[in-house]
Amino acid sequence: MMFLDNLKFELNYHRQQYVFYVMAGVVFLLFFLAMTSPNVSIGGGGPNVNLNATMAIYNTLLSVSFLAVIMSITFTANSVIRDYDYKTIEFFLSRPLSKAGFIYGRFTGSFFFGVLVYLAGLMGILVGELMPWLDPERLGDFSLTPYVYGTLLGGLPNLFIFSCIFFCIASVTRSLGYTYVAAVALLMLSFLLDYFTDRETVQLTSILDPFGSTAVDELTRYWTPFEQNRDLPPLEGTILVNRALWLFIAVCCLGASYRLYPFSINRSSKIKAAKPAEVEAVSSSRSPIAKVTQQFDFSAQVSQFASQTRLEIRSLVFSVPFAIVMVLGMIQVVAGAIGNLGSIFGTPVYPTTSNMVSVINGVFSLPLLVVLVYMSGDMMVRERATRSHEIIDAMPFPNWVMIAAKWVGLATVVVIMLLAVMVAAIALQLFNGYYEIDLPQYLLGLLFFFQFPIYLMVTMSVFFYVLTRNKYTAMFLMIVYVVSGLSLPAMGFEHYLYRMAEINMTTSYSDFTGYSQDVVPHLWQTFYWGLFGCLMLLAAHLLWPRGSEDDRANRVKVMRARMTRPVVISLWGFSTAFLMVGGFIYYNTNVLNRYLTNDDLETLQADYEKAYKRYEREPQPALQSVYVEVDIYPEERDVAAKGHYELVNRNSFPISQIHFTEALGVDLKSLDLPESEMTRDEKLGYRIYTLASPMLPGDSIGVDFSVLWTTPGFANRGHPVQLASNGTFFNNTDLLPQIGYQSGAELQDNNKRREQDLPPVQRLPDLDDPEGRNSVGLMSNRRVDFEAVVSTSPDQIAIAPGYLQKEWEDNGRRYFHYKMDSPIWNFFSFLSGDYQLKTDKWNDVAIEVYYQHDYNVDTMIESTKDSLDYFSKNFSPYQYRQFRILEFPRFQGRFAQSFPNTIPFSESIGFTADLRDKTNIDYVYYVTAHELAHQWWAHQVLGADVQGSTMIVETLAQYSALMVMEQKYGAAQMQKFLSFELDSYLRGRGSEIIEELPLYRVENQAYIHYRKGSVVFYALKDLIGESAINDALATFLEQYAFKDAPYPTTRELLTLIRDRADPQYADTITDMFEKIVLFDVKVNDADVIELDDGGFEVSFDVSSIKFEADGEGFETEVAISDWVDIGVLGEKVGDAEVPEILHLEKVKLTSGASNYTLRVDQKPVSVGIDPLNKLVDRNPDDNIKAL
Amino acid sequence: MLTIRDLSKTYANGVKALNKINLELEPGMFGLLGPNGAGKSSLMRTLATLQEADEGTAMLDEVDILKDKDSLRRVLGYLPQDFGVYPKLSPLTMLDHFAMLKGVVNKGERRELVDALLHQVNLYDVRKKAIDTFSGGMKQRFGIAQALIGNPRLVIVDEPTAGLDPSERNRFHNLLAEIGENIVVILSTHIVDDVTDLCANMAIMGAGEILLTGKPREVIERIKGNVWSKQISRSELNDYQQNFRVILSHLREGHTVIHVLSENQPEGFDHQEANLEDVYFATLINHGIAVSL
Repeated sequence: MMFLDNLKFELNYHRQQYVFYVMAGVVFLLFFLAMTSPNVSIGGGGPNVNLNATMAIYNTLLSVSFLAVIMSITFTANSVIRDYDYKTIEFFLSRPLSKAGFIYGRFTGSFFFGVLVYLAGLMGILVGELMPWLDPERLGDFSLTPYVYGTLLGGLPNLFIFSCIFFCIASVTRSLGYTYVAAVALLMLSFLLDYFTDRETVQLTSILDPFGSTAVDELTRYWTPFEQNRDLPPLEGTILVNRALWLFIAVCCLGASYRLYPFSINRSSKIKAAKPAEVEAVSSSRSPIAKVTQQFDFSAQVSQFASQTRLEIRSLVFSVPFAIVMVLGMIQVVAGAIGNLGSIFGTPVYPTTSNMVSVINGVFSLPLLVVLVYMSGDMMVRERATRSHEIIDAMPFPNWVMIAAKWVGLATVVVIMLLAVMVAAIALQLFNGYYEIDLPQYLLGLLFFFQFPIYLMVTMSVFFYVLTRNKYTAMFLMIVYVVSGLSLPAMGFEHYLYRMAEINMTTSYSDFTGYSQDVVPHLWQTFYWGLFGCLMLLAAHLLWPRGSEDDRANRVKVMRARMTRPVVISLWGFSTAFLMVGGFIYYNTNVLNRYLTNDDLETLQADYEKAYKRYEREPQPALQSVYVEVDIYPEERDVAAKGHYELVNRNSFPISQIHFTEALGVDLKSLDLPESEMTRDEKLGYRIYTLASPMLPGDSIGVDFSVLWTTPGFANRGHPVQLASNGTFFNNTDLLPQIGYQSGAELQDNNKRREQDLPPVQRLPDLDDPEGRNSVGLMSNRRVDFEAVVSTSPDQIAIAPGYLQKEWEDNGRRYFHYKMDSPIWNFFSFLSGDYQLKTDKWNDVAIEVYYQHDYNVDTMIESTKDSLDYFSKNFSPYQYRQFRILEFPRFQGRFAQSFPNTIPFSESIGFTADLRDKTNIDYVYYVTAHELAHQWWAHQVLGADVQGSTMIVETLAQYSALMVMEQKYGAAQMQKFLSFELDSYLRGRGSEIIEELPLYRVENQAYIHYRKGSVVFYALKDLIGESAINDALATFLEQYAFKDAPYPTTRELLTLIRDRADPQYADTITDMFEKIVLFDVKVNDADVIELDDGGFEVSFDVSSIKFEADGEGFETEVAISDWVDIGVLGEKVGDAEVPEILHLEKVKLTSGASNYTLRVDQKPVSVGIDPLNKLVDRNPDDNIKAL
Repeated sequence: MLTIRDLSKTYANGVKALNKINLELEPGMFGLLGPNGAGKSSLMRTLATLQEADEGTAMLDEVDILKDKDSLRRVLGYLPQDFGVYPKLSPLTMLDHFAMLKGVVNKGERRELVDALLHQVNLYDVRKKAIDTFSGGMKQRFGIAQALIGNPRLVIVDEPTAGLDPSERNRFHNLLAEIGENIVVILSTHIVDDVTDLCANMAIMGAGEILLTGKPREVIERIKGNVWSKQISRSELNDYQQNFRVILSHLREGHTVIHVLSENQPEGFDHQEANLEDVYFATLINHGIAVSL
């Protein structure tokens, strides 16, 4: 049987290739580690999802298949190409083989081995799951089902699909290069499709994604941990279509390979003995070759190197595969930019050069690595593969000429590819009407500060080949290196003395500082690893295969012979320099600074909690006033401060001990309490002062302290980002000692807590905890008087909350004296930067924006004015005479934060948003309004430090911002905004780390207090009216603003709201705030009839389900009795391009199916139930149906 | 002058490729004959600095080939038995590059040299075509051209005429003869006629040893009158091998003709004019090296 013979041949062939065992072994190990090491995660979910959750296994298996795809190139494609590579095709062709037997035998055999590698990965997961040291809390019952299901639906089909495609391409082109190109193209296609997350396109991308993961992600995007632990994606809808489509394509490819494989050796391109043979007799034996001058000095060697380099570059660059990869890379970057730059509420940021460099670093690193790994393999074996090595090796050039030429050739490829994507990026900038193209930044960011230490990888790929003499093994070592580089830190190995990954400079770039922020450690690292690279190249010189004999004994002999004086001297020199630089780095990271891994930090946090949690409720004096003198030295990234706390005993009993927690990493030079004894825990930074005579109730005591926050040398994880040469921004908890135990420092992730033997976290006291009513959780439970003198360099402005009293220069430093005229919470910030300033006025309030980027400063000012208008009219007056917004560097975070009269606002979120397209959501306006609302919802009234407190702060700020936004942009824009909010909420449920809580008990869970809060409050406004809510809020402020304990909770707020709501909505309000309720309403069928009078009659069926969920995400269906919108929509209108609402009314909905008939005058386009997405609907896409 | 003393080489798999080789080569063409596996290529590669020797020395005038590889490479022209080239590159590009690698740094000089070489091997018309599309003969001529770059004092050509048609082979011989006047040219081959036609001196190798050296005419002289031939039927070959020293058999007009070595004329045998082929096979058989007839 021809087929079986070929199959057997193929199996035997691979079995003998040790590459197979290496691959299988590594894949097994990789996924075993992924399963058993708590820090390495490949396909797993959030911390509440079991390690062996069905979806975790399913997704991990998809990753295995992803790897298996890379493998299937070496197996599948190689099975066709190999005979051409090894010139054995004639041998096979000369045998009486049937073509089908030959081709399909080869295919099946190599596919089978791909499957074996896949199964090795699967076994890694399965065996890993059974390991006894896994945290039993994170394991569900063992089940084979997800393995079988995931293999049948994901892994095996993927492997088959890709094997077929690669086999086909390999058959047609007989070139591994093109096959790799196809692989890169498919990977890129898959990445590209990820960028199209629009609701409309995601259906299509789900079908087109060759890996089938988009469809699964799409279907499971709202799955709660409970569902992720238990369920598997059903084989239906887009998943089914996707699998069917790609299997069909695969089978077509397989058929095509049979048809297109030329079962012969006729290569059409051969010149058939051309003409020269005829002319020979004439011109022969003329011109005896002239003597030439030969030169072998160093300059000649340089010429040899240049010539060899030209050839290397020609071979690498002037090839069709390279051109294809380059074009694909450019497309990838453009699509990546389009996808990434629009990530906040769908509104893009300006394609600034720094953003483009970030995008390229983000999306292009992997493709570049793939190309590098492939090309290096190809290049390193070229002489041997073409059998030109005997000629070349006998030529009189030193080894370095060849090694250097290969290195430069490969580096040039990298540079060309980066320049190509740079051109694409610049084209995109110009296309977007953005003309501030910063060429030096491009060149630095791509060619020097690239995310991967790219030139070192070039060196390594040369070295690995020379070491292994096998291009596949070398490629594989490169992959192992990349994977280990990514996973070592997760396993607690973070020091870059042994981890060849550098600080990612593209994330420490800001227009404030340029690349200066972490450049010093980066340069040292580059130097260190550069020296190591030199050592590798020296080793490459010693081991360089030259000649035709290459066994181990010979290698040693050759190596000895090559140990010439210069080589030995260089070896010594580079090793010594390497060790010295390493020593210097060690001195900086471990002696000058404290070397702490993430694990160390977690242990510190845990130790702190274990040692001092018992003092959490220890009565402490209250902070009465704060006076600080803060000297910021931006260039040195140092801060020195001294200050004075005034403490008062507000308890009804004496206090004899005062506790302080030091700021981590800050040197508390002195903290003096009169007549006291102090014990200090140096490691955990905890101090207890025992007073000689206790503080009596009402007594006050002054505390003087001084602190020093310095950044000596450089640290392994970099110095605190808060300190920057331009754009310093930190708050008091970063710098100053705080009174008592700080529960904010506790570990929040329960899995990490279990590792540290800590009980499950209690994020907040229960809503009804009477003790909690006396606390606000901001380091002090009362407002304090605040005064600060901040100094900085003369070219910078320093800012703290309060009003500027005085500004002066002294001794080459610039001083600012700030003082707040009313008490504020013990939470304040210090900033310093070289800002531009724009000022404006609203009534008597001075508006100031300190900025680097002027794009949206006017929007911020406009939002400030509108918000001040709305809030002061509807809630209460604004308490300050001034409102300041300050831009801070993007590496400090992507947020805005509200301090009294002071709002630091990240460079990366409002200041560079591109608001030119009016259909997009103006989130700059929204964020400004939200932060300004915190001047009320935080600074006027703050909830008690119990469950629900962030609803009072964040949800009310969301509501306030929504109202200002709606006033400016209209209800239509709100729907667009709220659909983002609903989506974020539903997704957020899946990554909940402890349990989901109802809104009124929210425990600082962002997806609830922001996202669900917006949706709920908007619906509430729709139900009971804006004025009712505003009235409730105004009353709430009236009762609690600026008051001392007891502080309000959500119970008080809800009572005020309920009082103003029609009793018929009582249940709905309960659902919204006190339960976790979700709907799934949809339109099944819809019809329209044009009436004689020109009107239209629309009738449609809807079905509705309502669930109540518990904290884990387990859902139970409940009866519906709710007021829900039904409506008819028309054409898209207005700036925002949203459908016009032709008819909207509320109906009382009941469970099951219902039928509605509506009449409209204009031509309807679609109908819907809850068309504006006011309900928390698990499936908001099907609420509207086109007619 | 190339002087080889006690050169030995044993491969890692235990095969003794070179066993105390001693040779002295004057300028001129030197033919190295030997069956496959005789150690010819090992010797050539060792002399071409492509592999190490275990013991012995090899000196080209004052250059120690085994120790100072780089100096030897500067004066070496080497055409390996089986070679390929970078894909898609033309002879012009490759020769220019090789000339550079051979230290011809001056651009003008290099261009002249490459042009001359291309003319000499008659590839000038196809100088811009990709070499990997060439026929075997054209590729071989390119190989010669690259071996002639620079001012080689030692040229080693390993099985150069394999795959060439007669006219190409002829042409190639002329070329070799031309350069072989003043420098050492080692021609390794198993085609006896090549040696007869070209070489002033020769050696026969077998089983890693030099079995015979001398000038072709001189070595033929040694067995002159001792070679006899007879036409036999194929089935009788075994019998004759038992009774005579059969050195070779070939076909003449479809009939098997054997040559035997004998001081006196055996019965039924005709006198046969000895040629180098007879010497070659006689030498092998004398040293107990199996020759399939």
